[in-house]
Amino acid sequence: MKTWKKVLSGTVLAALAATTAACGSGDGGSSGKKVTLTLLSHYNGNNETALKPIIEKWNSENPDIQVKLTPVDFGELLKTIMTKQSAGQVADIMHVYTLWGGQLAKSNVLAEAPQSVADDVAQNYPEAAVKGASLNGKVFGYPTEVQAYGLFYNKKLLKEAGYDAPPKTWDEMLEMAQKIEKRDSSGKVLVQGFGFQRGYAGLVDQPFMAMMAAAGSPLLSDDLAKSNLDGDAGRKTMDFYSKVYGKNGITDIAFNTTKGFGAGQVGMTIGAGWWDGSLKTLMKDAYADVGEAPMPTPDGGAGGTMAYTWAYGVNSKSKHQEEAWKFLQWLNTQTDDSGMTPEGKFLLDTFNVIPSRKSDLQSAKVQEVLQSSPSAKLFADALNNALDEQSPAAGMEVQDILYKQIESMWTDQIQADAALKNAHEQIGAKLAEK
Amino acid sequence: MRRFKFKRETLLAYSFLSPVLLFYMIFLMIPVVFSVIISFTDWGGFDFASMKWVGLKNYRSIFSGQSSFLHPILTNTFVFAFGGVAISFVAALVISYLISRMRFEGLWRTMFFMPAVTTVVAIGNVWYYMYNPTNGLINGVITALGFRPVNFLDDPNHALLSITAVSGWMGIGSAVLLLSAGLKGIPHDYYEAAELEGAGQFRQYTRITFPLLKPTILFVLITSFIGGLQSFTLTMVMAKSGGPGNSTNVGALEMYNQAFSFGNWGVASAMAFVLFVVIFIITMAQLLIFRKGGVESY
Repeated sequence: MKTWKKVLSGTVLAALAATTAACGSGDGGSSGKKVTLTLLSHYNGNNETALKPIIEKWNSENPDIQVKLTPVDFGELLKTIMTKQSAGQVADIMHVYTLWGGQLAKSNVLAEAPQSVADDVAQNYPEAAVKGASLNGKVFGYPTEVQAYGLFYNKKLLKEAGYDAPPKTWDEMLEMAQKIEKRDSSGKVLVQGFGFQRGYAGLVDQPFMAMMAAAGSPLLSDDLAKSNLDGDAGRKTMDFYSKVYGKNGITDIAFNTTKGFGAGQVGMTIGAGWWDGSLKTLMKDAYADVGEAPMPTPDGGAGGTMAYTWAYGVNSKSKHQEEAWKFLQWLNTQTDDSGMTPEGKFLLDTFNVIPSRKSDLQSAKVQEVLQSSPSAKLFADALNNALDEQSPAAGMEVQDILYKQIESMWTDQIQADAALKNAHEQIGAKLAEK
Repeated sequence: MRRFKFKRETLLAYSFLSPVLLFYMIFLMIPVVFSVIISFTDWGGFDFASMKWVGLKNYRSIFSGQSSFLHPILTNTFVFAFGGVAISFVAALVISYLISRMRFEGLWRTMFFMPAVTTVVAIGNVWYYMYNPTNGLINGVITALGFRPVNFLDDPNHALLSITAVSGWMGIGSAVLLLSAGLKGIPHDYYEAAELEGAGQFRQYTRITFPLLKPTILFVLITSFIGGLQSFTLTMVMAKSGGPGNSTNVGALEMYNQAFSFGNWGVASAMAFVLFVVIFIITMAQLLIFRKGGVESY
C-alpha cells in the first residue's frame, strides 16, 4: 500500500474507531463464547416465515452459535450490503445474487470458502451452480436457487380468447395478447393480454436476457468485454419489447402486471421458476388457472432461456467466519430422514423449486415432485439449455443502462433503434472501463 | 504582561472550544477531506488496498457527452428544487399571512406543519398510491369526471412534476412556521400608523409586511433550495431509481446509486463536489440579490 493510502486509511480508521467503539457487539469471536451471526437475505414476508423455523431449529441445537435473520427486499439487498459494509455493521452471512459477484469481489466483501466447502460444492452441485457460486474461479459459498425463466400464462383467459395452448413463437404471443386484452370505455386496461413486470432493473432485464437467449445469444460476449445487443438476437428482442408498451404497444404501461397476474387479470408474462410457489400461495384455488411453458422463440424452434444463481457466502470482515461456515455447512449439507438438506426442503416447499444439490435431487420427495408437478419439472428441465446470467464487474451498471433505455423506449422518450444503439454503446463503454 | 494575558485567555477559549472543534473535526472536516480525496480515486467503498488514484478521470466522465449527470440528472435536480421551493414558498406566504389574521392560529399552523413531521417514506408511499393510474384517488376523480386516467408517474412528461408537487406540498408547513414567526416580529404600530395614513391591506402588505419579512424570506428560500437540491428520498420512494428512464433522477439519488449500487465511490464523490459548487453558487446569488434589496443579515 502506498504511503498516502496508509495515512488516509489510518486517519479514517482512527475516526471510525472513535465513533464505532461504542457499537461493538461484545461477542467473543472464535474463542468458544456464544456468538450471534447475522444473516442478510432477500427472503422476506412469506419466505421469511418459511425460513425462520429452520434457523430456529439450528439455534435450539446450537446454543453457542445463534443465527439472526435480517430480511431485506430484493431491490434493496445490494444497497443494504454495501451500506452496512461501509458503516462497519457487517453481516456475517450474506445471501447474494451472483450478478453482484464481480462488484463484491472488487471490494473484497466475500471471504473465500474453506477447502472442505469448496470441495463439497465442486462435487455435489451441477457445473452451472458451481460457476454461479464462484468468483475468479474460486468457490465463495453454497449455491442455492438456480432459476430459469419461462412463460407464465392464465389458462382461463387463453381459453376465453379461443386458445387451448400457450404460444410457441413471439408473433403468436403478440397476436394472442391482442385478443385477450380488454379495456373499458375510458381506455383503462381490465385484462392485460401480455405484459412485462416492472419496478427495478432485474425485473425488466432478466426477461430480456431470457428472450435474447431464446433467440440464440447471451447479452454479452463470452469474455464479458462486449455487448451482443447489435446482433440478430438483440435486435429481435428489443423489437419485441418495443411492441409491448408505449405509443405502438399492445398494452398500457400503467397496468401492474405482477399484481394483475396474481389477480387473474393477465394473460401471459415472463417469469422465473420461483414465482410459481408464490402464485400458489397468493392465488389459492385460482392457481389452477396458471400454466407454465418454455420460453417462446422468434421462429418456434428449439430455444434456450437464461438462468441466474443465488448463493450463501461469508463476509470477509466477519469476526465469526468459522461459526458462519459451520452453520452454512449444516444448512446445505446435513440431510434428514427424507434425505434432504434444510436448504433443499426450504426451496422445494417455499418456491416449488427443485434444489440443485445432488443429494436433494436424488431424494424420494424431489423425485415425487418431479413426477407430480409439471411446473417444477418444466423449470428443472429448462436449466439444461439455459445460459448463465453473466456477471462482469460492472454487472449492475450494465443492467441499469439496459433498464433505463428500455424504460425510455416504453415511455416514448426514444425509439427502439435508439434504445438499442444507446444501450449497446454505453454497455460497451462501461465494460471497456472496467 | 498584557500580551501574556491575551495568550492565556486565547488558550482558555480554545480549551473550552476544543470538544466542539474535535466534534467538527471528526464529523465534518475528516469526511469532507476524505470525500475530496476519493473523488480522485477508483474505489469500491471498503477495502483501502483496492483504492486506485485516477486523477481527474471521475470528473471527466461525469462531464463527458455520454454521461447523463449534467442532463437530464442535474437539470431534473434544478426543476425539482426550484419547483418545490416555488410551490411551498408562494403557498406558505399566502397561508401564513391569512392564518395570522384568523382565529385558532395555532391550530391552523399545526395542521399545515403536520407533513413536515411525517416521514418522507410514508408521504411518498401515500402519494404513490394516490397517483396510481388504475385505482388511485386522483385518477378516480379524473375518470369520474369523464376524462382519461393520467399516468402521473409512468409518463416522463408528468413524472418529475408530480414528484415536485409532493415536495412543494411537504415544504409548506415549515415555511409557514418560519414566515408566521417573521410576521409576528413586525410591530403592530406600523400597521396602525399606515391605516391612519389611509393605506389599504394591499399597500400595507407591499410596503410594510413584505420588506420587513425579507430576512425570513431569505432564510426560507436558502434552506429550502439547499434541501431541494440535496433531496433524494422522495424520488427514491416514488420513482425507485429515478425512472422512467432518467426522467425523475436527481443528483443525490444518482450519487447514492453510484456509491451503493455500483460501488463507484470515486464517481459519487466527484458528483457530490459538483453539486456542492452548484449549491454554493446558488446560495451566493440569493444572498447577493437580497443584499441588493437591503437585507444585510438574517
